[in-house]
Amino acid sequence: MSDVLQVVVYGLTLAGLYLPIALGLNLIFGVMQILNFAHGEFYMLGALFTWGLLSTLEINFVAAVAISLLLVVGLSIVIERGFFRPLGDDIQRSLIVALGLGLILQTSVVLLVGPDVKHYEFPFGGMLSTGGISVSAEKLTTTLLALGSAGLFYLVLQRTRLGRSIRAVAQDQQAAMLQGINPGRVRSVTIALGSSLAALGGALGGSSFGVEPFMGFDFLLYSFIIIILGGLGSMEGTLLAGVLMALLQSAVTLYVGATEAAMASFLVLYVMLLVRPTGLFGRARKSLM
Amino acid sequence: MKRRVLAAWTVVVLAVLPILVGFDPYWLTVFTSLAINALLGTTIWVLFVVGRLTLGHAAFYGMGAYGVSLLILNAGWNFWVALPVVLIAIALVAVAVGFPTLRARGAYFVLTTFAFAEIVRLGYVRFAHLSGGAQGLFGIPRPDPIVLGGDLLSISFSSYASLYYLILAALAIVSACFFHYVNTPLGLVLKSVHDEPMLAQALGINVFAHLLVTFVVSAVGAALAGALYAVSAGYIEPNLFGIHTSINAQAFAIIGGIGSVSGPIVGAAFLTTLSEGLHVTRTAAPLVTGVALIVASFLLRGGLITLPSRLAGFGASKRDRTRRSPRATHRRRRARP
Repeated sequence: MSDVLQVVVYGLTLAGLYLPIALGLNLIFGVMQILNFAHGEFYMLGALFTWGLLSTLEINFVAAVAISLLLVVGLSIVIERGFFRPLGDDIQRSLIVALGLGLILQTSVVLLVGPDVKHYEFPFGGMLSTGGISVSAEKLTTTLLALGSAGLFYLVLQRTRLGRSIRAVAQDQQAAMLQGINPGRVRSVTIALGSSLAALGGALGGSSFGVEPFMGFDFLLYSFIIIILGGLGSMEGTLLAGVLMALLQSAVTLYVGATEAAMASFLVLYVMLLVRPTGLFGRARKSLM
Repeated sequence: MKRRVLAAWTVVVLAVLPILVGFDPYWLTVFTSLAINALLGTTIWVLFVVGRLTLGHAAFYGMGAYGVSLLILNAGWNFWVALPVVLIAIALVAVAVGFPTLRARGAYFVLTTFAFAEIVRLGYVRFAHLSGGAQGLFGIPRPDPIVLGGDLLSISFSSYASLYYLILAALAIVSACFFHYVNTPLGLVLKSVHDEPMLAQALGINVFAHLLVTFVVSAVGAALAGALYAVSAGYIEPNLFGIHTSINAQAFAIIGGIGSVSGPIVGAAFLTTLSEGLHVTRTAAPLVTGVALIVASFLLRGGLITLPSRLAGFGASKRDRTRRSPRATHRRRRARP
């Protein structure tokens, strides 16, 4: 029984790592038709800026996270306006540009800050254990914050006027414009929301795993697997697939091994593409790319 | 016709390069990696002809390298026996990967090939007893000599120059095959698959079969490049076959230009010599690739091969300059409501 609880607890911490990235990636794809391979870099920069602010200015942890979120959001809006918007919905070109930007950001960090792992402290530590399972207070807090922000993000999309206009542009840009929605503004808001979620995930995850230039990459891989499983463009699909994938990985990691967990997730993806190519909640679309 | 001449000239230039540097071993290794990169870029180009972009060719490249190396090192096979066996096996893997992914939209294909390549790379580390794990495989021998009878009629691949010409021959043959694949009546079918998949389907063309065959051919080409890399470098490790290799393969094709079969060769030559010429370290190399990709996407659509005509024909209309590029057709299609 405690085994199962351990799997669930570890699975939820994994979900807390994947969901903030996967939701943002999927929303960006839905609104702008961009497979943002630079998204892992927003995650990395969120952690890197937090580390930089904490180690040089010695400010409050919450303030450092907030400032680094603002920095990443600013950068993402500049990238969207300067690089993605001129390309319109040309999915191949924007993918190439995103790959190029990812390489530039990653390598710049390697050259400027160095490839070694850097650490910073989470404000409170200690272990909590009940009923045979144990979890660190840090893991618990970061997971709850990450899952909470992912849930909040989903509510914003579903329940607010802003969220409705974002979903309208994702569904049909022409029709949205006819309703008086400014698609340019929606694009900026979308990338700001997506990158801030990723940066928050990075700032929280960086304290447990350390900060290094390539840290965003693994999460990017699993996030992409999750959004295909859930269906491109479907937020519900991403939420469900993210939790299921995290539980599967947690179980396979605990009983077999970490590499096998990665392979199992690919196997699930493969079977899903054979059985239901559009994912759990995806709809078939007209364009073939 | 012009493109065929351009492609032939590219190969001629590559063939005289070693003479120009006096068969200097350092430059011969640079040219060898250039030719392997060009071969990899060519396999990406043939997929662009049917409008697909893959981020998974590092997997086929790596499986070619590992497959041939393991058969030579562990089973003691002759290179010329191991190579066709590995290529056939990889063709089957490519069918298995392409079958579910090519049916879906392009974005699913990009992401699934990307995930596939990463999982394969993890597999090299996981099955260390077979693949040498993170340390990789050492001491992979050069290709066995081809003996046609007597010393005079045999070709050995012990020197840098002979190895380079072997790889160049492979590049020339693969490029010529792909060129004819694209520029025959079959090529028109492929273009229709790219430009108007729905219409092609309605005309009775089996779009999926053409996509799958092109993907398999392309994957086998990438595996050949990987096998040649393994026997020329003599050493392979899992990190050589990660996402950076897949991105580089894209970069060769895109920076050179996807409008012609010589594009990837020009792109590989440009990126390889640029990195050597600037003495860029392996750490900083992705920065060069990233900047080149963005420049090619915004300022030099159509790649380096369009540069001469751009410089010559500033007076010509934009449509004339980009007419040959498959992307230009793609753009016109999208422009329609």
